Amino acid sequence: MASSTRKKTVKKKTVVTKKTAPKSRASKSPAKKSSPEPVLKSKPSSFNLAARQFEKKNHAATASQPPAYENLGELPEAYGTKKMFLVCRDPHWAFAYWDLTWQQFQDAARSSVDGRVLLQVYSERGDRLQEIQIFDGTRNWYLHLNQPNHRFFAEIGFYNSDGKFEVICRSQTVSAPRDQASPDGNGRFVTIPMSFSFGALRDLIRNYMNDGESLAEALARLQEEGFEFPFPVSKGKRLSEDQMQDLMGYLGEGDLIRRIQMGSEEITEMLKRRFQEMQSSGQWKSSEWVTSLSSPFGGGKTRDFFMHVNAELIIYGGTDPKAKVRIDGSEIKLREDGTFSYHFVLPDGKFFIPIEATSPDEVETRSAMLSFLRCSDYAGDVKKTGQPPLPEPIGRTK
Amino acid sequence: MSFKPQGYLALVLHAHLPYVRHPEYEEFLEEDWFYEAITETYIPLLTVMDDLRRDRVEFRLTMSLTPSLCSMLLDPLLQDRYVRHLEKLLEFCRKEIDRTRLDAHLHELAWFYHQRLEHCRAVFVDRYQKNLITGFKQFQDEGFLEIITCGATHGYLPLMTEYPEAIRAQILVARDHYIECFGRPPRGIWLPECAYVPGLDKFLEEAEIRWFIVDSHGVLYANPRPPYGIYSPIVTPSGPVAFGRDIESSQQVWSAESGYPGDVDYREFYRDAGYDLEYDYVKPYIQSNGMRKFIGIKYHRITGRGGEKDLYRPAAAHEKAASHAGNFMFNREKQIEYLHRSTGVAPIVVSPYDAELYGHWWYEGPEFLNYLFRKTAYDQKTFKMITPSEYLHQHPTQPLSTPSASSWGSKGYWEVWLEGSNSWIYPHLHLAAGRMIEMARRFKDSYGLTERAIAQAARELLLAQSSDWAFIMKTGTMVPYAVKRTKDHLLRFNRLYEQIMGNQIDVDFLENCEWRSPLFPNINWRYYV
Repeated sequence: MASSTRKKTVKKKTVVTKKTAPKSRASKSPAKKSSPEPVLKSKPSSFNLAARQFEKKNHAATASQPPAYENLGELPEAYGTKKMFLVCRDPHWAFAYWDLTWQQFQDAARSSVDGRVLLQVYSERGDRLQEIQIFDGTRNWYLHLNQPNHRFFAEIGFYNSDGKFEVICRSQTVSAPRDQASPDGNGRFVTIPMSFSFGALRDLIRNYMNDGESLAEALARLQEEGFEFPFPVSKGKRLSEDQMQDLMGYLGEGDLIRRIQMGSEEITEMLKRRFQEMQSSGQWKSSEWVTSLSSPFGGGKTRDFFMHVNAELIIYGGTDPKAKVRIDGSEIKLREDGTFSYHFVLPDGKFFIPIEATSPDEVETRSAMLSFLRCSDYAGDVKKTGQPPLPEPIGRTK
Repeated sequence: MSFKPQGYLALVLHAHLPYVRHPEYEEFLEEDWFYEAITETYIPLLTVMDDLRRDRVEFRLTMSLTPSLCSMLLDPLLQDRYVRHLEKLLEFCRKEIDRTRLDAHLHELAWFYHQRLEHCRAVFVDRYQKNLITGFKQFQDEGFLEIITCGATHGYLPLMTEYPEAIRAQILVARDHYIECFGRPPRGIWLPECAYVPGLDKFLEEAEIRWFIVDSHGVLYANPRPPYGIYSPIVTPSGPVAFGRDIESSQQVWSAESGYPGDVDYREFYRDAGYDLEYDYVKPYIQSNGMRKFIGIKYHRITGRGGEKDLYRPAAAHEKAASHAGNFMFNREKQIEYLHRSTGVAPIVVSPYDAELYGHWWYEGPEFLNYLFRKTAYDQKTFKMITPSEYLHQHPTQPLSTPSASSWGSKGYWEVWLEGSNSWIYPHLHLAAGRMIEMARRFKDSYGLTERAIAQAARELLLAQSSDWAFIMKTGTMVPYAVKRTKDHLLRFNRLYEQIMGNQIDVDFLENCEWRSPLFPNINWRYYV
C-alpha cells in the first residue's frame, strides 16, 4: 500500500518536472527511487533550467506582489484605557506599565499643582515606598523594590492644589516571590490517589469544605481529622532535623541562586563562548561581532585579518544526448542537450580522471584522461573554509 | 530485572516549536525550524524508541508535545513541505556523494547523511504516512511514553494573571486538543517556560491535570518548606502536584563548562555545508533570495579550541555518547543511593530538557538516550526510570505546599520574557485579552459567521501570546520575525474585534486569517466567557 502510493507520487512528479516550469511549484527536485547507488547517476538538477527559472519567478512574484492582507498597519502607541499594570518580575524587581494617551498625560500635567505626574509605589499596607516623576514619553518603569516575599501596589497621579494626591490609575496588589527557603517547616501531608479525579474528590467532600478552602487543603484537613475516605490515607514521613540538614547541605542552598540560573539560557552562553573561541582563532570575521567581543585568552589584541582558501574541480563537457558517458568509471546522466557538469573536491594530491563517451550505436568511443596535481603551501593561518555567522539552534535552545 | 529500587529517575523532554506556517509564501525560512527538528530530533527519538521496543528494553520517557507543535505535525501543508524539503536534501546529498569522490573521509560522511535522510523519508512517509503523532501516540498507548500537554500556544501564564479567562483558555484549549490528538485526557502539563505563579494550580484542577514541573527553586522555596527538597513532589492547594527540576542532572547536560554536548568528538553544529561550500554549487539549496542558510549537512566535529575543525567521525561520536550515558547513569546511582540513605525514602530525580537539545543541537543526544535506557535497564539495580504519573500512582501521599513563583529561564523568574526588548508587547496583549473576554461574553450565544469570526479572533490572540516571540526578541536573532508575528496576530485580532463588535464582518479577511492560521479547528472560545 505504502509503496504503491510512493510510486504514484513519483510518476506524477516526473511528469510535472518535464512539463512547464510553473507547474513544478510542488517540488523542484526530480523524483527518484531509493536507489542504493546514486553515485554520478543523479539528475544534475542544479543545471535544470526549469528549476532555476522557477526560483527567479518565485522571487519576483513575492517581491512585486505581497500576499493579501500582509501589511495591516501599526499598533497604536496607547489606547487610553488608563489601565495600570504592575508585576514583580523577580524577588527584587517590579515592572509597571500604564496606558495613557499623550492627551491624557497632558491633561494630568495641567491639573497638577506643580506640573508633575508621579508614579508611586506602596506596600500592601499603604506605606509609600517610591515616588518617581514620569514624562509623557514614558510608558513603563522598572522598580527596584528589593523586598522579596512582600506585596505591593502602584498608582499614577498628581498633587492637586489642596495637596491631595489625585489618582489617575491604580494597579492590582502583587506579590514578590521569595528568594530563600520558607522558615515554616511544619507542613502537612495529603493523600490524593490518581484513581480519583479531582471532580470525584470534590464530590466526596463538598459538604465538608470551608469557605475559600481549596481542594487539597480541605483533603489534608479532613484526613488529619480522621474523615472516612474510600481509599487508604497515609500520614507521610517527616525527616529528622539531622536528615533535613543533610539534605539541605546536599542541595548546596547558598549556591542555589547561582545554580538555578542555568536554563535554556545556558546554551546561549555556550554559544557565545564558542563564538569567542572561533573569533580568537581568526576563523571568521564579521565587523558587527568583532567589535563587541574581545578575545577570552588575554595576551594582546586579536587581529581581525584572516584568510581561507579551498579548491574544487569542475569537469564539464558535452556529447550526443543519447551517448553513454563515464567519468572515473561511473556512468553519468547527461542533460537533455547532451552536456554535463560535475563538481569534485580537490584535496592535495595527484589525480587522474578518465572520461569516456560511447556513441548511441555503441560502435565508437572517445575518451580523455585528465590529470590534476594540487599541492598547497600556506604561510600564516589559512583555513579551508570561513566560519559562517552563527544562526542559533531552533526552538527553545536558542 | 525485577528489583526494589532505591529511587526513581524521570526523564522529561519538552518538545515545542512556535506555530510557524506560511501558506502565503512558497518557501519560508523559519519553517526550517520545524523541518530540522523532525529530521534531527523527532524522527531520531521515534527510532530510538522503536529499537528499544524491538529489543524488549523496559524504558520510560515523558515528553510534552505542545499543542502548537502537534498542530504543525498534523498539518497537510507542512507535511508535504517537509517531504519536499527532504527530497531536496537528498538530491543535495547525491551531489555531495559525487563531489567528494576524491576525499575518502568526506565521501563516507556524504553517504552517512544520505542514509540518515533516506531513513527519515522511510519513517515519515512509509511508516507513519506523514503523521508523526501516530508514532508518539503508539508508544504512549503501549506504556513506554507519557505524553503531556502545554499551554495552547506556549503563552507565558504568570503575565496573564489579571485575565484569568486567558489562562483558562490556554489550558483548556490545550487539553481539548490533546484529547483530539491522543484519544484521552492529559495527566500532566509542561507549564510554558516552567513558569508558575501561585493560583495557577486552580486552572489545572479544573482541567483534571494532575502534575506539572517547576524549576528547583519553585519547590525549594515553596511554603511551607517541603521536607524532601526537590526529591519528592509537593501537592499544591488545589491538588495538582509540582515536581522540581533536579539541579545536578540538568547541569551535566546543560552546563557550558562540563556539559556533555560540548565534547570534542561530537558534531559541530556551526559548520554547515550551506555556509562552507562554494556559492554557485550550493545555491540551489540555500534561500531562494541567494542568502546562505544552514542546510543540516555538517561535516566537522567540535574538535577543540581554535584551529581547524577536524572531520566528523560518527563511530567515535557514538562511542562517546555511550560513555557519557554510562557516566550519567553512574552519577544518578550515586545521587539516588545517597538520598535514599540520608532520607530513608525513595527519591525521584526529575530531569527535564528541551527535546530539541537532543539531536538538533546535540546531534548524538538521541544515541545518548538510547544507551542510557539500555544501560539503566541492564547494568544497575539502584533506580528505575518512571513517569511522573506512574510515580504518583505508587506514591499518592505527598507534602502539601505552595510552590514559589518561578520559571526555568535565566535568573529563574520572568526577566527573559519581560525586559527592555519585549516589554512593549504586554499592553497590547493585555488589551486584546480583555477585548476577547468582553466579546466572548457579549456574543456567547452567537452562531454562524459571528461565531466563526470570534473563534478566529481567539486563535489570533492565542498565537500572539506565544512566549516564543518575547524569547526571540530577547535573544536577539530573528527578531524582526518575532516582532512581525506579534504585531500581525494582534492587528488581525483587533480588526476582527472591531468587525465583530460593529457587526460588519469582512468574510474575505476572515477567510484569509483562517487560511493562514487554521490551528485548533474545534476551538472552544467560550472558555473566555
